[in-house]
Amino acid sequence: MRENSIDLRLRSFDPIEYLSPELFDLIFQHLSPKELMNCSYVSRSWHEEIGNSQNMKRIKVFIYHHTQNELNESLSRLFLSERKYRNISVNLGTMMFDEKVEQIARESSVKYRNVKFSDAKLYNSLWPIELSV
Amino acid sequence: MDIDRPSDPQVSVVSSDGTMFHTTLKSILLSGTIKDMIEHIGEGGVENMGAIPLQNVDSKTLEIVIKWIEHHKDNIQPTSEEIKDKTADFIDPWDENFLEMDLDKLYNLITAANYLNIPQLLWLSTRKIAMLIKNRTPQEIRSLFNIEDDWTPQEIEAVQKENQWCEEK
Repeated sequence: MRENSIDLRLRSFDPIEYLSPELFDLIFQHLSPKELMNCSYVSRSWHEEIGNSQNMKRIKVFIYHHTQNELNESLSRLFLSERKYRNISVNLGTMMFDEKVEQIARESSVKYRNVKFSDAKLYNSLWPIELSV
Repeated sequence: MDIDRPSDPQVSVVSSDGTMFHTTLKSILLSGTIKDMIEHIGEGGVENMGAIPLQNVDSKTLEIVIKWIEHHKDNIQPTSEEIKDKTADFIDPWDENFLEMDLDKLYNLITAANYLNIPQLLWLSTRKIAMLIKNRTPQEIRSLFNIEDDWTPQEIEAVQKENQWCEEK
């Protein structure tokens, strides 16, 4: 019985194992950004592939924050993110872009496209991490 | 009038595992990859041309592809540029029915449609997978494809935080 149960183990039909990353990504052209985000929970590899997806350009990122700590946490997370975000909107308001976050930004190798910051000071301080348009 | 020459001459293709399939020129021209090959031979050479070897498509998959191209040989095919802007519009019931197949066959079909450069078939076959995913929870998607849940609770929490920024463009 035990040996049988090994034989009966279900085979995985994970599309990631069958398709090249380019073809896996084509599945998501048919799904909304909301569905895309839902799929990012499936597994680590789905999260990684979806983060690299061409379809990420359909996602618009808004950073919400109420306190300086929340802003720091969100920005740190953003700079460390491996997702290829293209449309990011950060409204700093009266908050400061503090040294700790700046350090993380500088060390981060992530390159963003079309990043829009509502605060010119922040934009300038981010310049060293290479903002490509 | 050249009555000996059929308007849609026969063409042969050979799968990676050595099986020969006969189809027609009109059908096979739906493949951009084969169309490019044939254009290099020139119109006059088609009848005398030998079987076309397809190193990347096995016989099971090639049989499925040929069934599709023969059904659609008289239909105008959208270009890959047109496909990019395409939204889910009317799907031919024949195609819906055609795509009812096991997942491993469907994955092979996607790979073959890409290699053979058949934009409409690639669009339809990837859409089929997308429709299976749509409106399902992550756990339902895992069950569907038998994917192992390899997240730790902390990691899931981090993804949730990142996802809450994201909005539809």
